[in-house]
Amino acid sequence: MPREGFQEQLDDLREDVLFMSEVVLERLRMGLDALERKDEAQAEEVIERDDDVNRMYLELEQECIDLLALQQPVAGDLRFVAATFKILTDLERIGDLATNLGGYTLDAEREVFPEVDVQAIGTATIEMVEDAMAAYAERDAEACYAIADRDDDVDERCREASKLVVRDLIETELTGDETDPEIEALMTDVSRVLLTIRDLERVGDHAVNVAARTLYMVENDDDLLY
Amino acid sequence: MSEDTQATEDPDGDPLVRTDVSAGLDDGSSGTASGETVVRAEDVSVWYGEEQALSDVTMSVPENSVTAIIGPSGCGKSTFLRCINRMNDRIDGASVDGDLYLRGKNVYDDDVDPVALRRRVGMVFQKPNPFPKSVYDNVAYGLNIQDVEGDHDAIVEESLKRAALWDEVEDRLDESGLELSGGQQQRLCIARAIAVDPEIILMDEPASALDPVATSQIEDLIEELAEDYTVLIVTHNMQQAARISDRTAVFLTGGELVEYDDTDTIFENPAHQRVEDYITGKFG
Amino acid sequence: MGGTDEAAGFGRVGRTKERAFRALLLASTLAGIVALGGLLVYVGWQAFNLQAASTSWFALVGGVGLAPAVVAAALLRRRGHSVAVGLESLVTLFGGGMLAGGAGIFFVVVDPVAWFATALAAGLTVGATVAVNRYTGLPAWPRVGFAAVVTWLALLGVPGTVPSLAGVVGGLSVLPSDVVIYALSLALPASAAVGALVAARTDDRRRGLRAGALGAVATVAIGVAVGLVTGVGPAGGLLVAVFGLLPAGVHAWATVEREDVSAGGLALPVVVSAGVAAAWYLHGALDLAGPNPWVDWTFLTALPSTFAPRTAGIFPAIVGSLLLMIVVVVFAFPVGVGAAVYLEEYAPDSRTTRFIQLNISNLAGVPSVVYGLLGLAIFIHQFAMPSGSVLVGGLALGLLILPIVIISAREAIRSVPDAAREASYGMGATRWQTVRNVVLPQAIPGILTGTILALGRAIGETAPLLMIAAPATYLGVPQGFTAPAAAMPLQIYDLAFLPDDAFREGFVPAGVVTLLAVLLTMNGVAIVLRNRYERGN
Repeated sequence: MPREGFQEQLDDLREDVLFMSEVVLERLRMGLDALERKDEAQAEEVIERDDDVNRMYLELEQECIDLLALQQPVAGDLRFVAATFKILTDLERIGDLATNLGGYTLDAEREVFPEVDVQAIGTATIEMVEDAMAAYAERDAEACYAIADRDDDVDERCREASKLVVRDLIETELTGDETDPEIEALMTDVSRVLLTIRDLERVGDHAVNVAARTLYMVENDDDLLY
Repeated sequence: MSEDTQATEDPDGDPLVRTDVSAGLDDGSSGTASGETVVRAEDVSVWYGEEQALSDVTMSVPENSVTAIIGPSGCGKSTFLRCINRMNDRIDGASVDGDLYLRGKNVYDDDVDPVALRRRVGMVFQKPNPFPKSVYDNVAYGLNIQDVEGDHDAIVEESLKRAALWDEVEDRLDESGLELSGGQQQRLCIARAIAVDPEIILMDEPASALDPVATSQIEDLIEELAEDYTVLIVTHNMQQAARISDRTAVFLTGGELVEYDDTDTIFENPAHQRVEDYITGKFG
Repeated sequence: MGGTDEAAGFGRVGRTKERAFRALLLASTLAGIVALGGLLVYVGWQAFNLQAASTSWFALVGGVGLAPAVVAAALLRRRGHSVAVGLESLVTLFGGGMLAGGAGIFFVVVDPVAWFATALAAGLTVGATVAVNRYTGLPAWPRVGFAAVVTWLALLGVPGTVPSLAGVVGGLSVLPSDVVIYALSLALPASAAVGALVAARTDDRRRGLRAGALGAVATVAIGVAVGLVTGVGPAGGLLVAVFGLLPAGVHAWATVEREDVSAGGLALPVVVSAGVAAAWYLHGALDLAGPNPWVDWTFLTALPSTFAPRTAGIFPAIVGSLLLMIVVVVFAFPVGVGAAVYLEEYAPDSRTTRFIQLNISNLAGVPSVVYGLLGLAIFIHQFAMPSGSVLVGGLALGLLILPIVIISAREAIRSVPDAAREASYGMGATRWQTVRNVVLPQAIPGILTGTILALGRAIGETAPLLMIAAPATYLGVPQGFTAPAAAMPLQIYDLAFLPDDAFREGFVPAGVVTLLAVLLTMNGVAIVLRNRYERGN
């Protein structure tokens, strides 16, 4: 097949992106897990390794630029490189959100609100990211639509969870004897949970972006790109 | 450019896709480049009569790589190429100044025999020019005129294989070279050049007379050739230079070498505005 | 200019001027052809004395001889076969026949036994050299020395002790007959060459061997048989077979092997030969009143006379012309081609070179008489060469056509594209290697064509021969290269003004027709050669 070297470069880029996504997903899981078990050591690890993801992001961006400058891709190849550019950004953002999770773990003082099943939401969004990357790897347009649909569900759950937390806060009866640090701790926990829920929702949004770009790459369809 | 990431397995225990992100990165350099210089030019200038065709060109061509020379028409690209094997000697009124070293020996020294020099340098021309002889005799031409000993049959076969032509001609070795298609003829000329194991292969716009499919084949071939040979290619097709070369030299009007650097630097971030203007098509 | 209503289309462009111009050009083209054609018909009519032939004779010739050939050609054309192939074959046969005649004449002058000895010696030298080349690893100079020694011994021997090969052969008690000599020295090498050609083309040694053996046997057998049947004698028949049938056979085989043209055209020479043979036989059997042409066997083989036009012949002139051509070729071809190669490949573009080139072009236009004067002044008076001899005449004629040979050779060399030379120089070939391996092989067809055409011109030249005092009418056969000899044009000229009108009306046209036949055949051969090489490239 002609332009074998070029074909190899495209395949390598795809492999590298998938690898980066694996790293990001692993950190997401680690962060969520640390939050659940309140494992501060693991949380620290998650925060430290943010640099790895950022470095990968810059390298892969340069790979895309090299491909554009030196190989002049057109048609499907061009859409692939353009889509990959944007997907890298989304992956990097997800990486940052995973770092946030680690940060929340370190901030936690009390129990997480038990009515709010953060783990469930987290697992759902992680699955969305996994499925989106699978769609990218397999060039599966159908799967992209499915991921967009799931996001509505996740958004709904996040809204419910936030409402729960706020109501809980409102209904907490302050006896009036609480010390200032205790009130501080309460406020911190509440804002922590709310932020965690919000960040997980954004992970879901980024997964949808990945699916949208993948749909564009495969079918030149900007339907999901609102 | 990057170090390994620590994890080799994801939480489920499955191995991750890659352990080294940069291993697949292709920054254009071949793995076997040793960095030695094959051709070194120092302040080379050429005049055709009164007209100056090359002006103080200084550059080094590294071993086992593809080096491209680009630039608008008439700015001395082919002239420079033809200095290396002293083909310019055959043009009346051509005069050369400066030093040009092939493997450390100045090719314009008084004691250098141009004919002997040309036996160490291979040249492929713009329009394929196989001899009106059989395919076999074409490839063996260099072996015959240099009285090379050894198994000519084996050398011919090896050269044709390296030129990606063997499969198409192995049972047609006695047919005239002129009966092949354009792309095949050019590959035949390449086989002819590499049969005598040259120090460097000079290519003067080798694909410009070919259709896109044949061009693509030649480009792939050149990338392969760089593993065993050193290639210096002149091309007016910038994108071709971007695709296949490791280093690129930009010659602009007046025969001036304006910039010479890694190919990705030239095409992503050239140092000179004139080069940027030329590459973006704003002039030339 | 003659436009119609716009609405009807684009209008028309007037064509009257164009038509008039075209008619004028056609007329001027035809004028020359018609004039020449008329002249040829008149000369032919006179030479073959066709007014004396009866209508039944015409009917026979036309019906049995010509008509089948024409019909065959038309049929071939209709069926899509190539008539050109048939014509090529005919030319090869005819030209070969002429060459056979020339060879026969050559052997009248040169003793076949001496020829045999020389051929043997040459063969021995070549064989020894080839054997040394292939089976020993000696470097160049000892090989050349060895070849030289063997040649010397074969041709001259060591005076006093070892006899030369010629001496040995000549001293044999039983001399080989002419047939044996021709078979061994001509048929065998020719068949071997054919075999080698077949082997090279088909990449099959055994086929080549079979072809060579078949060729040898067929040539000897057919030649001897035909010679005995037609009364020419086995030796003569063998000559015709070697020079005529063998090349025609090779041409036929090559045509069959060709893929771009069907071999149906080869039927044409068969039809023509059958027609001619049938007409000949019927002519004899029916005893029709033939034309009693001036061009007959007597004409070609008898000595000239100044008083008996009917029995006068042109034989010595034919021999003389042949010997002259040999000298011309031996002199003009190497010198001319060498000069052309030098001027095109080696000479720098300097004032001196341009001066030389200008002068060569001028020399081509110098009147031929001047070359005769040159021969007279320098060769005869200065170098004391025998006047009127073949050698002097040949040299003068050679000088005459030398500029033409040089110019046409230069054109042929120039037509080799520079790209091939560049490729060769780029590979580090010396100039001589490039010339030998790339330029000359491609230029040879053009050079050959040009040389043959120049030779054709030389055959017809009279003035230089007059000046060097070549005898116009020579009553004996020339004995060698230093003997005086007549040439055909000279002979024709000389007998044209004798008081007996029959000379002018019969002998002269006959001579003209003979000369034309030779010329046309040479041109035909040149065209065939050029076609073959153009196809091969």
